[in-house]
Amino acid sequence: MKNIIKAQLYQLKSQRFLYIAFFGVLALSLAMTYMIGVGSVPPEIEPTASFMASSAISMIWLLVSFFTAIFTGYVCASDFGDKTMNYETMSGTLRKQSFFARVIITIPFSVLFSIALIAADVLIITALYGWGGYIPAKVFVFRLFIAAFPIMRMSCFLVLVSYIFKNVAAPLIVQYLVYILISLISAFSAGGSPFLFAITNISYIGNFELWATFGLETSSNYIFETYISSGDVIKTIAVSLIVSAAYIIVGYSFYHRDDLS
Amino acid sequence: MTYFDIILVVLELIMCIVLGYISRIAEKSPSSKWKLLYLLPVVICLLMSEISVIDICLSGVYIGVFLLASGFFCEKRSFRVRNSVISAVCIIAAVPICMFSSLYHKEDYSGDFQKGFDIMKRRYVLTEHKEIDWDKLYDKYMPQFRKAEKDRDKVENTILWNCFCAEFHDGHVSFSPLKDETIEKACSRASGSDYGIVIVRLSDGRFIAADADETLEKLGIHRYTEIKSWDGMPPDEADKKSRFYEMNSYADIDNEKFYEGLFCGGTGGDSVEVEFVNDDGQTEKAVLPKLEGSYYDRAYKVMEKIDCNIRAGSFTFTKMNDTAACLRISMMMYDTETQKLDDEAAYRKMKNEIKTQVEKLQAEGIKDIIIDIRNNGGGSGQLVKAVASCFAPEGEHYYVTDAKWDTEQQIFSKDKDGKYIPDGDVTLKGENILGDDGRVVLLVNSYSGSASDHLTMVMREFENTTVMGFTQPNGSAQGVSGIDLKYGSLSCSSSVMLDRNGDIFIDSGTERQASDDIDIIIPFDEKAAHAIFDDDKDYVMDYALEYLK
Repeated sequence: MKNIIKAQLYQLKSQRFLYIAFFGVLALSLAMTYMIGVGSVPPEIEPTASFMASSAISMIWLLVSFFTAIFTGYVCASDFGDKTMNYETMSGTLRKQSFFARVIITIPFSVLFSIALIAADVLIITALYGWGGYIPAKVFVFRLFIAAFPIMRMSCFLVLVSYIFKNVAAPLIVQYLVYILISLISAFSAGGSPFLFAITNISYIGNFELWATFGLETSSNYIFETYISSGDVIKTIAVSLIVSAAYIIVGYSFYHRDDLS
Repeated sequence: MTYFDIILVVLELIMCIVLGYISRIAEKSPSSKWKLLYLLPVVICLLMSEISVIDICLSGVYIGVFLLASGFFCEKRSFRVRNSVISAVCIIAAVPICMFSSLYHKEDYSGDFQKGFDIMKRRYVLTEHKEIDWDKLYDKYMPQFRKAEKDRDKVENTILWNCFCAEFHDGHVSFSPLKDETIEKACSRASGSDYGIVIVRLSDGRFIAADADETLEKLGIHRYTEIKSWDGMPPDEADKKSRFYEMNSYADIDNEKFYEGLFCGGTGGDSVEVEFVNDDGQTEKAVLPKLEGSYYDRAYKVMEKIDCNIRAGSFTFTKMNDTAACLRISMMMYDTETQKLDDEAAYRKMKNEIKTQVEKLQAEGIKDIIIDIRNNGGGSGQLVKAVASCFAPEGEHYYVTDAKWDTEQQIFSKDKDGKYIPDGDVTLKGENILGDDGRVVLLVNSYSGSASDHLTMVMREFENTTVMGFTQPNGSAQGVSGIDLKYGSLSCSSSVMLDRNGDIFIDSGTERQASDDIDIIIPFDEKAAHAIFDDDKDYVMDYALEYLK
């Protein structure tokens, strides 16, 4: 298993495609943060990173989730395409080793890269515009930490998808379809629990409602509501951990007896 | 059961049959692809739950789905068939549970209260001024919200929110349920039963029947009959037994006194004992039976007559007689353009229009203007400034003082004594468009709140202006913000407005006396009652016209 992990890490380091995807998503999220952020900043106040990032965060998470899909697809499914997986099995590597070696790489790195993408986006915007204090930085960091759990859940789901379809593009396509489906459902229904899907959970955790105080002749003071109940935080963590475990068990069970065709 | 839950049950039952059948094919031609079909019930369940809700009463369905999904792990035909049958039983068992369980589609009223309470506690800027004891309020209302949740009582949830909001005695603290019909149902339930009488208090302290059902005629009770007691208590005491009374909030205690007696008419059991003064001047007792319908419908008609007998559009001038015209302002909003920009320049056009119309009226002999802001719940402070400056005597006039905002802490700054720190006075320049001979009468009622309170406070200082009404204005003048909740929306005072001494602008404190008292309280006497209820007159307007003669 150690060797597979090493091989995967080596492959990751040398894979230009992933660098392009990472920086491409970063560039897109920066553009998105700028466009949504600047568009939502009222004319009477200076745009700052805390305002722009808080306005755009839900959309940024969505972009980041597509990187997670690309990354997971690459780590878990690319070796199906060139039959590496078959050779691994023929050379005596246990399926358990083959599966969990990739899972060990995919999940922590997905979470890490996702957080890194958001952090890089926010840091660059902060360097350009200053933080601004519309949201205390520690609140933002706390939300990022909590969002790591549904990101992990999403990554586990995408691992399952990769092993079912054995195609690098499958996680990205499925992720996109899930997003479209949820958007369609929310168009005609109030929507169910935000904890049902990783993507809705992330958006719930990342959402900051904007309100303002005002004076007659002083400019409005905009505040992002940072309230989140402890129950929702616990639910997010618990549901993410349980569902992640379920995805991994199902994924392994499928791969364990799969004919690899 | 809801349609979506029925669809979920039907789809999962179909899956039980299909997967039970497929187990035979899967055994004959083994492939890992067949296994995937056993995950389909989970996908269906997730999607349907996204459309509807996750419900504990649907546990049978969820167990059934879990059992069907177990066919993914074990490929034995006997296991899959057995599980399909057990799943179908579990799914079907969920149907009667949903139909008969009180837990089905349980609402989260306590969670909603918790959220609204927590956010409001942080935003509310009059906590010290009104000495709000948040812990006491929480302890009082949380168990009641939990009970409403247990009883799945949507109307009770609305009643409780209104009672909670009324504790603040602040017109800006209010709750609106998602559907308007819920508030009507809440008012109907809280107001109690109809016994055929609506009681109002006259300015001399006597209580009279403002409305009496025809069936009470034989008992000697009719409109204007003096009521001495209701259910053994003076009407103002009996009011306190009404939940409708608890739901209604008056920032200024003078306004609360005006409506005394109005709430008791719905309280009582199957019948209620009333002590009244008969037409011969003798005190008599009668037992009133409960009538059909709710007290709210009867009381509402009376309140509408007293407070809403106004017949003019917003921002329209109406000639009332040869020398007086009325400018009716039903809300402090002019048009979408001014509302969007909401600065001094945006209202220049509006001011010019007012000036042009006043000049036109003056050419026709009009000297005085009555500005009617009764039932005007507020709006833009800039509009207040624009209207006030048109009619203000020449010179600079004080309006309000903004409070200093602490951008670091994201709260309004306070000094070491806990008082808000002023951040500049707002003044307006008087243009005196009526000239030195013109007079202004400002008409208010208890629903003239927020920006209407501002206009009252500003204009009552003008020497050419007299403010009058049956009651004081609402007495709620701080800035408002809304809080979106699952079952409605909550609003609360969240922006500080100060007066020139650095004290809270207008809003009442613990003594419940708002500081925008008016010049003339029009007596609500028998003459007024007759004019309103018999002659369908706008008595307040007539009083103002008489005053200007």
